[in-house]
Amino acid sequence: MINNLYSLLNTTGFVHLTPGMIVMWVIGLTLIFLAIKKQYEPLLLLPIGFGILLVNLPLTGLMEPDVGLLWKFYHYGIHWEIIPPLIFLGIGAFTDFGPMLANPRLIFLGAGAQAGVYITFFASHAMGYNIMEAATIGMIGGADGPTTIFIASKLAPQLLGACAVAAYSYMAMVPIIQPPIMRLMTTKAERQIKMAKARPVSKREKLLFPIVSTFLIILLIPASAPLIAMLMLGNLFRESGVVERLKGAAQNELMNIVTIFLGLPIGATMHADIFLQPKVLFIFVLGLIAFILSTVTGLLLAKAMNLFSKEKINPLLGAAGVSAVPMAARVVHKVGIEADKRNYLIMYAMGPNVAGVIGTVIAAGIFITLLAP
Amino acid sequence: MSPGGIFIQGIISVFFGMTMLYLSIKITAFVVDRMALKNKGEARDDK
Repeated sequence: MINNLYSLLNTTGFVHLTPGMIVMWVIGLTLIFLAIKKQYEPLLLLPIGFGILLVNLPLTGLMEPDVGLLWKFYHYGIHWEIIPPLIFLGIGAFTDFGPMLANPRLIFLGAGAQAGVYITFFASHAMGYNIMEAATIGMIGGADGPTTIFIASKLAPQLLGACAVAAYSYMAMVPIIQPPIMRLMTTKAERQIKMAKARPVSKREKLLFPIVSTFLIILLIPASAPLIAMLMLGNLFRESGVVERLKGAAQNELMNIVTIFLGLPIGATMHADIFLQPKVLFIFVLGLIAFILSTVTGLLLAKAMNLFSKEKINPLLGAAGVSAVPMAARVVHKVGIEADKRNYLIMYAMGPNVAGVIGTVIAAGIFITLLAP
Repeated sequence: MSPGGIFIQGIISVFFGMTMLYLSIKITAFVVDRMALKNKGEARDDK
């Protein structure tokens, strides 16, 4: 009788609980709290948080290879590199490259912010992470969730959960992290610089951009093809004006569906045994450093460009070179307004902001070209 | 490749890629402007 009771008890999850699992519940519940109460990237942090809870319930087998439901989502969606490019299709359908085309020199600010990615890569490797892990950690500085997930799935799948959560957390915290750095790195006079009026961009230019840039970037960095191709296809849907249904599907239905299938398995990669290691937890510190460095290098590049340029750039725009769209551009606008109430920077900041998306993809493509097995 | 090599090659490649993108935008804008001017001229000639 006692043996039967013991066997019965053994089939429940209660006796298989570990302290690590309970710590992970707290982390999962914290993410769910932040998503609901603080609205920090709720579309991703909510399913990620729930995924963490699920995978840290014992005996579920949800991440058991070939069998588990969440393993299938992970394997066919992320490991097969299907979901991040589909997210990029939606981003392309949402993105107006007009502000970037109107002021193309601001593109370089999107490149400047990538310096933080490479500095963190170098620092992470020096601190003992292997070269592929270091590249994945560095990508957090690009503040681009799908690209971080894409590169992690290729180079360091064991760090996927931590890197994805770090990337999305810092993207959500752009309004907290960036403004003090922007104020520290610029004078009030610099923040008050008014941008020259941007030239108008014709519809034909907007239409040609996704086609020309697809050829150019993929010919230069073939490894960036999955992300750039989908980004520009989405943008072509938007700018062509003849496939409103496809544009709408990419922006809404498809984006929403893939977001669910992205967040849940990412959370499910965060099992206590894998996640609660100093090496993994330290990624959050390095990710924050990467993000700060990307902001700093963007600001410094904008200041450097002013040394050689007749038309001055408001250096705050450099901070928009990280690709958290449109949050970073909004933050630039807000800090600009604080210095001068009539200085509207939002449309100018969207230029480096969308250039940052392209810059991050190029940076990821280079890592993959040089490091992928 | 060493981490230092990747670091340098990475930064150079990102800036090179963005420079090419900058040039392609400039060239596209120039071509589109010329085409618009040409079309405007042809429309005027037709009148």
